[in-house]
Amino acid sequence: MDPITIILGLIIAGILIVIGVHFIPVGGAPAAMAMATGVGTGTVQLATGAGLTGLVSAGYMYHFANVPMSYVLLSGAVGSMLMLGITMLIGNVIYIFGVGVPPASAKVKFDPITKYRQDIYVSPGTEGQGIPTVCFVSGIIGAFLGGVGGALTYVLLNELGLSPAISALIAIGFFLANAVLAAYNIAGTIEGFHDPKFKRLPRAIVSSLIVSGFIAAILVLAAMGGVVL
Amino acid sequence: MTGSSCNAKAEAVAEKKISNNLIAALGIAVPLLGIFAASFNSLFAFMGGIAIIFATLWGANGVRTVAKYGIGTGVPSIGMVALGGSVAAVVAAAHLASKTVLLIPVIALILALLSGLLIGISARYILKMNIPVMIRCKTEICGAGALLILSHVATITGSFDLPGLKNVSDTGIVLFIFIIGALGILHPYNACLGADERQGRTLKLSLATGSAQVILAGIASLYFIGLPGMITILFGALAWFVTYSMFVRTSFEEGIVMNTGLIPEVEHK
Repeated sequence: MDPITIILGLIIAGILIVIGVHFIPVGGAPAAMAMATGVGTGTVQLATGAGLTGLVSAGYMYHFANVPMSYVLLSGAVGSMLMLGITMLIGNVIYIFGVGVPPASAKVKFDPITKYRQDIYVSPGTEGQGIPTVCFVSGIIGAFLGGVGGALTYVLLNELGLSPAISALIAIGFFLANAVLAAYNIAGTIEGFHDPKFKRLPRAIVSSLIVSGFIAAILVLAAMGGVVL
Repeated sequence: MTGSSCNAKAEAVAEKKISNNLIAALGIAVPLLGIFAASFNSLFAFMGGIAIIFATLWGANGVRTVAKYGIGTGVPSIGMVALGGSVAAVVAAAHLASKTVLLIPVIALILALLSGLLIGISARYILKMNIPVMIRCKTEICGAGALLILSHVATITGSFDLPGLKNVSDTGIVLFIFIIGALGILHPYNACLGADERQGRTLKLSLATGSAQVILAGIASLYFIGLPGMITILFGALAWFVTYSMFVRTSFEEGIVMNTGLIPEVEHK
């Protein structure tokens, strides 16, 4: 593959990861106390968990199954979606049966998907609790985009001629750097695509463009430019 | 009386602050020398352990400085970027300078500082986080991450060139470097944060997390360099014991029991 395609592909992968992270319902510390909507952990942890599972499934397809590239990307997406779906499902089981709260969003009055009323179920003084349907669906979409982004990074680095292990290592680093940029843009908690914070997305895309572009440029320079010093 | 003496003590300990520039200088110079020394002879691999400790110290100080502002995303996200932003720089440097091996750490450091600078600038001006130290700290944290990865590679395999990097990644040890390195950098502030957080205490804990990494790196190095890895393990264990007991002693000294009068004295007997 020629260098320009790889640089562009890596930038697209970075942007996909950043967009994906914005879809994932992240609750942070407040959600761990059932005082905000989303899974009770940080953005980076949640996105990385999903992204790395996607990386494993994509890596398996890339090396051991003789299939076109789109299948590899899709299997990465499915791995991520499974991981995040299970995380959100188990989180919801704990919120509903363990903590004893009904999943409800404080950001919208009616759930955009089920049209159920939300505000009367939100405990006073909290930002909602649990993972309502709209957040769950949003999270699955986010995991799909993040999984495709992570798998694309891994495949492109392999095409660049780096060894599979080093490709996986850089893909993890690349994923983390982009997830952190998205986390800073979200600043704490986000519910999904219906959250007002979602409108900040363009800023994260621009910053991802810069950072991913730089990382892609030095990698392509190193792997294709050969030994300089 | 107890209260006033406590306040006086708290002020006295708050005054001693090590400048960030000094820590940055130590965090660059010591790891570079340690990495070179570790690759010189496998008997000196434990010198890489000193490099690990000081790179962790530098990174933890950067995390501490920026996380004090309360970013709202959690301390781990700041620490993880240290290795996330620098791993590409390390691999690129190992490729670029594979003829002049001694230049690898320097180029890796420069590339990592640049990518940290870009992350910092993006966070400060594009994502509009109003944190003045953001750019400096992101740069420092990424630089520390790059040196930390190379220190680990040098300690474990006794070399820091491309084959060394390939060795640790093909065996999967690099994943453990990634996680313990990030944890070593992010844990000190994550554990000590709070209203009475003090630089000295946090940095003592970072020395301890650095030393704990040396023990693990020493165990991993038994596979590559054999018996000299025992020196690394012993050095790490000694350093961990000294630094961690320093940290615990400081915590006991600074953890003040205030008698508020809410609990009746009978319960203490």
